[in-house]
Amino acid sequence: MKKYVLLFALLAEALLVCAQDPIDSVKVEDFKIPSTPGFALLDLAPSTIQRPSNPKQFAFSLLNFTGNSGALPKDFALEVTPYWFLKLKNETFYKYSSVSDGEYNNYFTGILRKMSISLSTHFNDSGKNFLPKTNYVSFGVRTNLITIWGRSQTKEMKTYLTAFKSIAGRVAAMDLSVQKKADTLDALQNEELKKIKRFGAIKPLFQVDVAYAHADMFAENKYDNRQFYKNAFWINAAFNLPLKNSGYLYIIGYGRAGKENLLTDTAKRFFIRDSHVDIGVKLEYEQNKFSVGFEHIQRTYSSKTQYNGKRTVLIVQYKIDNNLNLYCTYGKNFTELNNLFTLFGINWAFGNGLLKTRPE
Amino acid sequence: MNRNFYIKEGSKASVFLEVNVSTQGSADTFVNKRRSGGSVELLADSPKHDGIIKRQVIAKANELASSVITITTMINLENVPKQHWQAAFDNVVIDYALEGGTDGKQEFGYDKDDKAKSKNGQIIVVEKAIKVITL
Repeated sequence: MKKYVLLFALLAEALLVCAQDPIDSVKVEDFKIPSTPGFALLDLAPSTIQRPSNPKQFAFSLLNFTGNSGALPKDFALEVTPYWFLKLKNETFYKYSSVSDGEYNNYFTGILRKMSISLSTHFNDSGKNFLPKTNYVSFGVRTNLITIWGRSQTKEMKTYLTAFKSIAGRVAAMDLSVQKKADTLDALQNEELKKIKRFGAIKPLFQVDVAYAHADMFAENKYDNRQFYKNAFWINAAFNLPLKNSGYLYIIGYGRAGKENLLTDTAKRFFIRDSHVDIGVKLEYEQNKFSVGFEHIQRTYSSKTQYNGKRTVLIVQYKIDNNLNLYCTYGKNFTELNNLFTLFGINWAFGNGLLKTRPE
Repeated sequence: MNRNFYIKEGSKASVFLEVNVSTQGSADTFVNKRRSGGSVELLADSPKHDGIIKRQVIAKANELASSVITITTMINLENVPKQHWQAAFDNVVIDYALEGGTDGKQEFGYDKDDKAKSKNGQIIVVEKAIKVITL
């Protein structure tokens, strides 16, 4: 673990040093609350039950830019997808998108392709439910286990691909340079495929994602004070149901099992180790750029049942563009006291001031 | 960059072609025979949307005399998230194998100037041109 933390610290420092003026070079989208397994494990992610998604090749999310050089980095998440660094010899869109090619169903081809590894930290100054002045560092891995396309989705996909091939064949026969062919094909497919549902807008009928995360806590942000905090394995199973109005209804089942050092006395730093199981469900409706979801999770401890709890939240999200989301999470988190959970994330800066997004 | 493919005059030997494509996007490959004057004839295309053409006869050698064969692979990254388009462009692998000429089996890949992408990066085109020369 020490190696990981040191590697992480070095990488983070390198990233910060590379930025001549860090504040100016940080992109607006870096101020999103990350959805890495580590943040989900700490119950800090906007939504604990997440829809399966495509991880980025390399993602760096910064929550609280404090420029704390010389110590463990605070409040950020780093996610890497190794697949995108490889040049494969036998890759096809059927394997990448887990689509049947007529010979193989390719249900499980996402396991290595969608696997991402992440490191996250959350520094708690004085917030509730965490030790004060403690850095929580977590390592996580997640991937797609199964993807199944329904009959109607496969039909829509074939319609799109057949129409595209027809245009591509015409362009291939033209007497143009390679660059002109690329531009002509792009222009023609945008024009002629307007009325056909695009591949990118078609979602698989059923997907299962799995994740594992481990978190340690570092009191006073010192490595010597390292202590186990939590670990967990979890699974998300999602049905993506297309609606007639072009919206989508998502029904997501959630299960998580793990061990945890329960904080029973903040002042004396007293913990009790116990294992827990979470069972939850999320319903989400998405229409164009707007989505609203309801999430409920029941947490049961194996011996310390007095710590059993539930999380019930409403999540409203508006997609400003591909990189920017505005979202609000409101509801009750697991803990018994002070459990009102509100999270407001807006990835925008007004004037020269930066708006920091921190869980309260 | 053009390649040359040498055939004997009047040869009726079968010319075989194999194209292996590796990409995350959907891909369609078209093999066209072009002659001076602008005539274009489709010799083969990939049956699936993976751009792959398994080893097959595309013509008799004498039918290809004085023509240029173009093998064009059109890749669409519509199914790939936008943030991966550059990596997908960099990682395209295409291997060609041509048989039936005087040099036996020729295996080759594409050159840098055989590949281009549309302005937004969604469309990738890789085209290999092969000049057929009669000996």
